[in-house]
Amino acid sequence: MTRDEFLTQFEKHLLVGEPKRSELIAEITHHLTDDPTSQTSDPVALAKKLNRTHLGIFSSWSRLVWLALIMAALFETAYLILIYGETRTKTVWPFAFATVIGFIISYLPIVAMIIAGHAISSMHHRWRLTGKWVLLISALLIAFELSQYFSGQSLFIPERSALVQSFMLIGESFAIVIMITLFVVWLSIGHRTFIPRYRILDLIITFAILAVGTDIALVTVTDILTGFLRNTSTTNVQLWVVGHQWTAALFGGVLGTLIEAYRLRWQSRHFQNAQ
Amino acid sequence: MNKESLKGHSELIILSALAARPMHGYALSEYLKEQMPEAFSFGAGMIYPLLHKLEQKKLVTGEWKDVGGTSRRVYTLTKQGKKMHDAKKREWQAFAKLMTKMVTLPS
Repeated sequence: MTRDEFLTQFEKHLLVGEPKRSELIAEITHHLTDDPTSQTSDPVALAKKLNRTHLGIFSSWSRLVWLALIMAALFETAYLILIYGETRTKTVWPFAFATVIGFIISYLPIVAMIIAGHAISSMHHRWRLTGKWVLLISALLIAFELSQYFSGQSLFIPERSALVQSFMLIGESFAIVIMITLFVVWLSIGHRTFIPRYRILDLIITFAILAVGTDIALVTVTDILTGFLRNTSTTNVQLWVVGHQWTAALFGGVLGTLIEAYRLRWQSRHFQNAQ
Repeated sequence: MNKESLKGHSELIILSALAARPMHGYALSEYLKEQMPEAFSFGAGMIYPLLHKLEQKKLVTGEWKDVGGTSRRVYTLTKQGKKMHDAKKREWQAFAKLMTKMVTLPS
């Protein structure tokens, strides 16, 4: 293999984006100049190893596709469990369990978008990949919603014609997915030193746990309070909580995540100063 | 010797080499070939992923410097890297002492 052939193959399979990309290419080019025998090694394997090092577990398009498929499968499973519990059983499912399932249904795709957005932010051709990823996950969500709707296994009651509702579903899914993913990609570019990459998963888990916890705790506490003290005021509080459940869960998740991010940043700075 | 058994200690090998002096990738590869001629050679396919992994762990730091009239990325151990190297070196020396004792037991 000639030097140019080696570099062409290497650059083709290197998914790391700028500014790191230029550095990596320069390093390998200099190495090949100093040691021409290195041209016999595998440029594709080298590119993949560097992708894995710099991009983490989602270091290729195929892994992002697997993420989308697994999230869609979990989403569908959780949704089918919820539908079964609501429509097929004679007894009402425990409220907390149904709330957790409902939460999983709502937030799994968002978690997938955050993880993928962050992985894509440091890749080459990041905007092209964002577009592909958004189309893929939108298509999966739309296919899922349409199949539920047309098979009559949906919890949603149609108020408009099926065709109009289908187009609205497509537009809505695409808009939500693209907004969330673009936001995460934008937030992650150039800000990688704010929170170390390996801590991003910690923050995502923090968000999920605190949002679920806030949701369950808020509803459970108000249920308990209204159970002991039932009057107009407590009933109004309960109605308010039920009406703002998702908002409160999001607020709890975001607030907790910000506190955790500050704590991680403080720890990181404290460690660097100690060095 | 079985070259595969050395692969599990690649990080310690790289840290030990950089503890001797800061080097860029090619110089590191040549240094290791010189120090371990009977073992496997660290080509570009092994050296750079390892160096970048160590850099992400903040055990080494890379800086572009002029070396012989060309710009090269030279890697140096950080304070954390030196501490890690010292700790792994002590661990390895204790392990080697124990294994030497075990394999030289009278049969």
